[in-house]
Amino acid sequence: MEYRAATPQGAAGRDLIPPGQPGASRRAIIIPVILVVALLVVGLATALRASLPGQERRAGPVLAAGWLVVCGLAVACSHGCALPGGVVAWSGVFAGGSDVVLLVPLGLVAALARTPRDGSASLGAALVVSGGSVVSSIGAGWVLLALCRTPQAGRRHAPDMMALLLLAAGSRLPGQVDYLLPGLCWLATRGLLGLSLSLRVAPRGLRPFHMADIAAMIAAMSLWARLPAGTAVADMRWGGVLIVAGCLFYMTASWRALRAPDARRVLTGLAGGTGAIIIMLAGLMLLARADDLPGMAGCAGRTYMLVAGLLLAGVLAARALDVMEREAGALSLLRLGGLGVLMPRLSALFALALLAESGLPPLLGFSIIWMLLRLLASMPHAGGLAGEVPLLLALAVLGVGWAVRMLALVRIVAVMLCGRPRTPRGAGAADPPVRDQWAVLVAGLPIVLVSIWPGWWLALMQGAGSGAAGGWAGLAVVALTSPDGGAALHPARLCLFVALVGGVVAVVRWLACRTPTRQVAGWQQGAPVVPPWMVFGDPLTQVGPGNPARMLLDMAVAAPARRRFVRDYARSLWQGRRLVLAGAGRVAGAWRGRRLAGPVVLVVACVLALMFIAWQGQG
Amino acid sequence: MAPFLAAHMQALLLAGWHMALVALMAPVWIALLRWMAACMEGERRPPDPLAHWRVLRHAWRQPGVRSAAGAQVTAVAPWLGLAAALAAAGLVPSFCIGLPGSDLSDLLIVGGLLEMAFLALVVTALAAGLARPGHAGLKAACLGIMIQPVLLLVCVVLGLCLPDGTLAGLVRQAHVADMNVVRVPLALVAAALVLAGVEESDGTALRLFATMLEDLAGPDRAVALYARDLLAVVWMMLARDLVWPEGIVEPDLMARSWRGVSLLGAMGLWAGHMLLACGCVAGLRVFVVSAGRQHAGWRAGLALLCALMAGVLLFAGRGAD
Repeated sequence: MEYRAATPQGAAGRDLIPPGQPGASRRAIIIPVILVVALLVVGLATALRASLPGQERRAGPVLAAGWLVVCGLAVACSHGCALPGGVVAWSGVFAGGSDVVLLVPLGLVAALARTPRDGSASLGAALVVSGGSVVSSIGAGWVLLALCRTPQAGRRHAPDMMALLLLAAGSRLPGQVDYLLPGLCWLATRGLLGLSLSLRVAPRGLRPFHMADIAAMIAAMSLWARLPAGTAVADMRWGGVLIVAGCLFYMTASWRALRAPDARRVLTGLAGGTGAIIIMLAGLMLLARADDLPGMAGCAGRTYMLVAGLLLAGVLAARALDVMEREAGALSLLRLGGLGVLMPRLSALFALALLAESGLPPLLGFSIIWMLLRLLASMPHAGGLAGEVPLLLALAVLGVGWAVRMLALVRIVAVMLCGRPRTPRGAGAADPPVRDQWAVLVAGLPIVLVSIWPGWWLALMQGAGSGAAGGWAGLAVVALTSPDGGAALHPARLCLFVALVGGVVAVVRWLACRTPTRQVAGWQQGAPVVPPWMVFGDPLTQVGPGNPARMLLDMAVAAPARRRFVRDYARSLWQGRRLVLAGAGRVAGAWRGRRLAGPVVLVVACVLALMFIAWQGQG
Repeated sequence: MAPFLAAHMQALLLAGWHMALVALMAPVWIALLRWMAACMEGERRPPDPLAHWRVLRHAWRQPGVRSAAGAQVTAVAPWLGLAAALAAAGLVPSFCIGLPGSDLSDLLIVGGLLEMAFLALVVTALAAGLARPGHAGLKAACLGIMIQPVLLLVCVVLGLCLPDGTLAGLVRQAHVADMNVVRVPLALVAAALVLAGVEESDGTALRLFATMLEDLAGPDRAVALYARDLLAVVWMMLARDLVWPEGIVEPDLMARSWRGVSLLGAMGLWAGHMLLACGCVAGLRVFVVSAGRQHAGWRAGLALLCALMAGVLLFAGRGAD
């Protein structure tokens, strides 16, 4: 039985991600029954594990195996293999597109998840990926709820929920409110991707990073990938807006990573940067679709799938942090230190994840930056200098964001892995038992493989090998190409080259440094002896959290001018608030003493919005 | 089969010669650069090209002592920096193209590897957890990290100038096309890279680097110093390739035996150009980015401005066409 079907009438152009072959018609994938059954079984097992907390050890491997089966089924389904059991009859409930393959990274994430909350979020994300428009919105709302650890956090996601509701309603009216959908999708995925223009790093503004966040990002990717096509003008405008917004989101997320007070929140900032790249790619895909540039659309689709692969670096980092937290205590950067010596193997794996996230060669982050750069350079230009200057400015903003991200990585390496431990608990940390080390190593294997052979990952995901040859035929070609096909990147060759040079240097080191280097207990520099958990001796000059950010700000603006600006800003905010309150008090004098409950306001707003959509639909 | 093998042997031979040349000459260029800067500041002394080699040898022969805090990181990080700098040096052509891995000589790859070498040196300073080098390392990272926006802008500008964005492609294009059309943008790009990447062009950054590495001893110190020199030299080589791509030859030793002579000429040209590049960097250090007299972000801002101007000039030229 062939599960690849022609695009249904009325759903033409529903996928933002084009299939592998440039210029080929878009396709929908009908979900087989066996995949739904597997998801149901996995869901039941997750619920059972949550209700029977003592059965962790037995339920864990079963769940992991179930999710791996889901991965395999998703690959088979997307490659058109015949699966027993037929197809799901309710095409509106379960209707996948090219993004069904996102079940592959999601399955890997869920298989390595350990807490019920992570499992629940993964299940919600699976609903998003495999469901129709309404079911996917329900699934996204579920993931949002799973991300919230407190009721206050849940209230903050109320606008996201409303946007999801409107998105579901809008996608049931194809062709009527399509010009609004990118904006609604932006609002709906704001919480899932951790996007924010806020620079604050307070606990309520930045949640700690767990596997659930990766599942949420996959759910958001799926929502973006199934965005219906609007008019060319609307798509073009939204594309430009999304690219600019993505650059700004990237910079603010990097800044939050630089200022975050603990390791998990640093990773949340880094993941927010990846979310910003997703927004940028969605904008580029909209632009390519509006301008009918199949080469650029194909390249953007491939980069989208590479970003899905980069999320596996987050899996490795999250697993390593779980073990570190168990061994060394709370992951506050004010308390950590010296883990590079105390737990060298785990630190090396964590550093590998950070290197992949950093965008430095030769790992996957670099391939994504390379592709993104080529995509931005191939954007359709308005012509003349005025049309090009926004591109240059966007690149400058993106580059500054990248620099800040790198500094955040330097900071976390400096504070966590370098130096000496600062607390007795930290000083007692050591590499975990071999079994746990293997678990982290297994979590790191996918990102290494995807980094070396991204072409194979693309062939696995959607047969988007390298543009010329799709499917498994594309396995022979492992290069990533630019939209115009002029430039090519060979990640496997790059990895081989770097490994070769590194090997030569390692041999030279082994031959030249035969005399062992003497280690001394520590340097005192004339200061009194400090206990081993006081790291740098002088707390005023230590590499503590916050210092690099201040150095950067000093580079941009001198400290007195900055203080003056902040004072003026706070004063203007205060005056503005007073003005607004005074005006609102006069206007709303009739409402004095009669306050409406927040949920009532939300419901009224939703009903009004639905009425607006229905009215537009009739028109 | 035989020509195929011979071509590979030739490429390997040239790569070995290129690496040996760059590796041996890196401390020489740095010594000459410092001599030129000293002369520009008014000091009068004869040049000593081997001065830096002697410093490295002295550091190498000292007994190795390492702080127990971060000892494993201190043991690995300088060598990691050296490996990254050597990998970048292998991708930047000096006197000829056609080396193995020339299809990897994308500017973003080279810049990324050099950035990795720089960050490895910063981590070396941070590894022991000492206040003074750690603070200097972080400050140097804040100053040096601004190469990233410059690199992105430069890559887009080069992507518009070149067919495949690699240095080998640039050299091939220089041999068949008139480069004067894009000479000024390319020179601005080279200036931006030198300003943002070469620490030797800034007295403050140079002092910070000295503070970063001052507590290292023995082979660790020698390797870190050498990696730092190599880093600066590879950035200068990159800038030189962008400004004078015609000076690099495409060898075909078997087809025409006289090409060996042109290889020697290209090597001489490379030496002359590198001397000129050293003079330019010394001039930047003394006259443009003077130590202690400018704001901390001056160098990064100037580099960013150069990269933006290169893009604007290129686009303006295209618009005029």
